[in-house]
Amino acid sequence: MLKDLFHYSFLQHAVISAILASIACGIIGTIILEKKLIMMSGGIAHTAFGGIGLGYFLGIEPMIGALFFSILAALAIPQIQAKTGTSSEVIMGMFWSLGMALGILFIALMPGYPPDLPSYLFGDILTVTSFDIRVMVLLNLIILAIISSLYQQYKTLLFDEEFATVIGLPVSLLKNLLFVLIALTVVILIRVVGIILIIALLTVPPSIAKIFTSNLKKIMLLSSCLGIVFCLLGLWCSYSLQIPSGAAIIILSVTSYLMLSLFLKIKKPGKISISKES
Amino acid sequence: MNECIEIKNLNVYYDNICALEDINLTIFQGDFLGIIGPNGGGKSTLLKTILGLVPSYSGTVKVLGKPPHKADSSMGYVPQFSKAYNKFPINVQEVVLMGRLCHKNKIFTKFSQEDRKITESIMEDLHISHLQKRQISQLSGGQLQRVMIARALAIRPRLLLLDEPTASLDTESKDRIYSLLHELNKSMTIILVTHDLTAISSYVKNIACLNKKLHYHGEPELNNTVIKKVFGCPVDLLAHGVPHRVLEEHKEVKHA
Repeated sequence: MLKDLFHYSFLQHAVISAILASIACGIIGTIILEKKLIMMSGGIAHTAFGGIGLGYFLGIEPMIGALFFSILAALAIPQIQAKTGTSSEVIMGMFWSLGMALGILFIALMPGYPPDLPSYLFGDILTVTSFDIRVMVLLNLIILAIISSLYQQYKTLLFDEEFATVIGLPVSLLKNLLFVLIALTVVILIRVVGIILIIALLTVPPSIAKIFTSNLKKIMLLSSCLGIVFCLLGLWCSYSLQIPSGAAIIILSVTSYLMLSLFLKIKKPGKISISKES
Repeated sequence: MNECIEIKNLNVYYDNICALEDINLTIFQGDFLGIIGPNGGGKSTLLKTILGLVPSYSGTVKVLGKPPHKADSSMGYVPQFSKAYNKFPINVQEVVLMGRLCHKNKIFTKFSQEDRKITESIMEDLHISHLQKRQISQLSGGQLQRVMIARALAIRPRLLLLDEPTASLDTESKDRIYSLLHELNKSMTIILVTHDLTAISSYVKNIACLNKKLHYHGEPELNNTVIKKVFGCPVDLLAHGVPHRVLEEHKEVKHA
């Protein structure tokens, strides 16, 4: 595979996109895990499918449609929840399905069937285009810039929202910004693992990282590195065994997590309880 | 004495449920006020209104002459720690430094040497310096409560508000917290919400009895009539600290 890497640009794209996806994943995945926004992220991801359908329907780049829809969902879900008082789980569940339904509707309305549709659902890292890469670089830069410049504020917000309000932090602005960042991460990940498999890649690396460190910044860094390892290993498996890349990456990450936590439980039953708590 | 908090004709509703009705309360600087009352009596709501955490209310609330949301750097808040946000990966030092953030809320915040000195001396005063690198999840209830107080003090507030700081603590930890507050009261105004009717007696200067309405505000001497009004039934008023007996001996009072 290494030799092919220098020959084929699609492989180079795959490696670059694996790295880019892992960076966003490590940072935002850590926040999602700590703030319990896993359902929210799933909802945003599935709503993005509506955007992909719309993209096909209007003949524009599906990624742009996905970006538009996921940002819209990220901003709308908390708003609707605040206005109607419905529980956020309910709203997210609805958006989850609504997004998929819209996507199916738009695709049904257009003549023919888009051949690369499954790659958005299940990811296909080997078909990432240079346009995708450029979008991913841009979105990654936005995420990095915002989280690193407002790191202390976000740490405070994640730990204790009430206290953040009391000391005068712009809490609702920070939260909305965070939801937009989740939407951007979702869009970055769509090409790599696909809408349906996103959640595992968002949650597995930080869950593993938390076993080894209890420092938020280090969890983010370690998650990003773990993400890179999983994505590149998955890519290698997918390329050499001719299996779908998204599936390979997810199966690798989830089994690694399960095996590692089982291993630690057997080895040091005392220590695992501490790392679980922290 | 200067007014620290001025509340006039305050009404707070959650949807259609009245939480606080026509509250008028003035708290002076240097005061140590204990707010008592039954569950759902609006104690925490009053505290949150002062803190600017209640989105809508009618009436006026002024903290040091300013509306609550503009007075954020003069108020230190100690929330109920039982809320258990303690799985978050963060150590004691980081939590206490959080209090400094209100003075430097800008992008790329870096805590200065001065910030670290301030927080270190506070942690020393509260005897938690040795816990600096300890994860929040590994603290005992009393330790966590002191960390929360340290975080509030790191703001360098003129006013400290605490929501049931001694709930579910053992007697020794309780006493430590109260004597600490007593010490702090020399330099700042303290408002305390509590269920602990008797323990506050030794330290607070004033009490406010709250059950939707403000039934009593003044010296910590309660008679059964007020207690009855607030709690709906006579409450056992036996004080457990022997030398400090806030509450009068029960006497057979013949109502005319």
